[in-house]
Amino acid sequence: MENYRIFDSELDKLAHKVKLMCSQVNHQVNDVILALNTNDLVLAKKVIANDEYINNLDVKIDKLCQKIFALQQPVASDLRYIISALKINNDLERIGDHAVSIAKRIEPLQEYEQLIQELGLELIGEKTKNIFSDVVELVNGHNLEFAEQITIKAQEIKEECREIASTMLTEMMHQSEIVVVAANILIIINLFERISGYSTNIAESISFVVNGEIIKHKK
Amino acid sequence: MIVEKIHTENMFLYYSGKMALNNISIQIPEKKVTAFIGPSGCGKSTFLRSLNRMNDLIDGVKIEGKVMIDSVNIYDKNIDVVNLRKKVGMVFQKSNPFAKSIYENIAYGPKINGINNKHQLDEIVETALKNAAIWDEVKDRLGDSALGLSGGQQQRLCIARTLAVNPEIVLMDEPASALDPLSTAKIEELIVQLKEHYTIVIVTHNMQQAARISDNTAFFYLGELIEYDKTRKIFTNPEKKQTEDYITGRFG
Amino acid sequence: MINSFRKNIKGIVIEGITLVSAIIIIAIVIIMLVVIFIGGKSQLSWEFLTSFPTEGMTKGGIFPAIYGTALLVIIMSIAAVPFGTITAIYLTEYAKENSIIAKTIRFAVRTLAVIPSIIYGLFGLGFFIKFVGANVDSAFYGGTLRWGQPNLLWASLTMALLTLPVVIVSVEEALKTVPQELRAASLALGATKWQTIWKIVLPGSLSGIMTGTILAVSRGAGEVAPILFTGAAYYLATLPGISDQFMVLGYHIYVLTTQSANVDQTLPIQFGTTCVLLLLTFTLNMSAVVLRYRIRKKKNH
Repeated sequence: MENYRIFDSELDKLAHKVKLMCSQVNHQVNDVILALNTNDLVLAKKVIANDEYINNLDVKIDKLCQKIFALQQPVASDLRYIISALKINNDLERIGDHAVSIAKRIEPLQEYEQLIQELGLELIGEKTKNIFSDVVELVNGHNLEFAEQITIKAQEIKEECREIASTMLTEMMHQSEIVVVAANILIIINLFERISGYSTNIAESISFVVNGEIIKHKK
Repeated sequence: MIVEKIHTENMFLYYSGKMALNNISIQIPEKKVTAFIGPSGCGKSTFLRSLNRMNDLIDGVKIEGKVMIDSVNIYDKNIDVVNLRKKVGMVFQKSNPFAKSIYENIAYGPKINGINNKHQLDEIVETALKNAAIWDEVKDRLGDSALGLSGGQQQRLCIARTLAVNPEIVLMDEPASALDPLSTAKIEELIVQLKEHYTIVIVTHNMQQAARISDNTAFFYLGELIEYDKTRKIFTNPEKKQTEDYITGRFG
Repeated sequence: MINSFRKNIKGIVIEGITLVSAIIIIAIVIIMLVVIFIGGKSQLSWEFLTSFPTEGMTKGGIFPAIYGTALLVIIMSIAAVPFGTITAIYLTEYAKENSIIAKTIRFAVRTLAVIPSIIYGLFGLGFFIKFVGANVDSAFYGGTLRWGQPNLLWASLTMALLTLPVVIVSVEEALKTVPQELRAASLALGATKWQTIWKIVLPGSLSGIMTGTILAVSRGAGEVAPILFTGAAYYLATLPGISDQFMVLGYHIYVLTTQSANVDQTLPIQFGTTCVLLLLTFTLNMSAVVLRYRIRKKKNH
């Protein structure tokens, strides 16, 4: 006895928008990492310009959730999905912002390609791309295997970022002339770490949609 | 494009000299669902019934101001009430099928309009029942008494009966208030589907129902139209404090 | 203590008196029915019902009286039921509840209901026979006495007047059992008021109209006074037409007990006739009660 529900189309619309948001942010992340690796300032500018589209989408999703809450009194799985959609939307928007922040710091690093390579920043970038492709899969298919992967990979990235940061600090003590560039690199590393952190949040939100259990802060 | 279907201007209604509707001005768009909400005795049902002149049946009702449907004042002297009611159908709070067969209930309206061709009637009955989403449930027992149907089915039958006359506007006076949640959901779904072809005005005690199914919502209180806006606006950010208090349940 | 004892005594006495009265009433009914049935039992036969009286009404059957009673109530119903129904429709469907005209009609109906039946008889004699009948005779028959005398038609119309209040009240009650929502539904579909009455209200109150008819028939079958002056005959050797006088059950009993040459000899036939009349009215009343019960049940649904 399957009933057509009046707000199913609204829910479909919301799911579609969240997926769109996810793929847009994925493009931003990929582009900014490519720009960083290849020193592509044009691409970096494109990433910065694209942010407006993502911000608009963020507002649209917020409004749609508000409308569904106000008019349809969602319950059970619908309720969980809409709560999660709001949070995922928020996380994605922040990831988008971080991509822009990284893009803005590519120019000051122009003459330090070798340093960047030595530090293994490219590797962190690859891992971040990798983790984010898992996020896209998870958001599109709600397959919780990806959620597990994300949590594991995020932990790795976090550790590696810490490692690079301590290397940087040591270097800074010896070479005072790289302080400015090092500060930028520290910030970028920190942003990568945060992106992986938000990815973990998204994984937790999707787990909540599927299982109805809040798994964050549980270890 | 939004076309205006019903429009009242400075309308007042008195019951034996006592004011029941105070200066109602509203524009109701075509092929949308417009909901009237408000506490009991706020005048929402009275206003609904003045749109097809069902208030004429009550002694001592006096109406002032304009009530326009398709830019014609329905209270003009030369208006034929019988024709008006064919154009503006009504579904009541309590399902009220006639003590006749399912078929005869639907055929009643077309028959009094002079349609007697059996083939034509069959077609009208089938279409009306299909449009009211009850055809599959009753197609094998059209000759059975309508009183044997469940409450929810009876109400959909009454909607079908209204549709059979081919109205342009369907007024609904708390059509689901006596039904269980599942039947209510079916009626709501039906209403949303019907707005493709009909202008629907619904009175409901159930605010969530208004929120779910309507495009525009009007809040009535003590015979006045307090606020009228897009349903989404009313339920997320109403302008008036009275509206906010009512829809959040802080009333009184 | 003493006081409450007295109160107790008083209570017991009152209860006793009311109980005795109730028992007396039941006893009267039982005695009446038993006496009439035992007395008439031997008479009740197919032959008694289908043959003419013979030998100065001391022998034979009561067929002409049954025939006359039947014709009387049929013609009476044809006159009273449509007229009463139309009045009831006016009162429930058209007249405003508290309008002067509705109040006047209701007052008139109540008054009609309490007028003694003998006065109907006198009215029938004065109005139908001496006024209408006589004028018809002088207008169409050159003064020959034809309609200006007692006959079946005038008796039936007089009886119709008597039973009119019964019909009006029961039809009105039946019309009121049709829910207001159904009228509203019909009107909202674009039906006119008359279409609504004809197709929804009247079919819905058909059993009520039948109840009214049966009650009227039952009342009419038992009444004697209104037809005394307007058409009842002592004895007829042939079956009557509409312009003839006629025999009727109630009047036949009266004739047998008071006018017969030999009252004692007619005793079995008196009992038999009474028995038939009683059974007839009893059956009619019972069916009216059953119908009314069914309407009430439907209404409470």
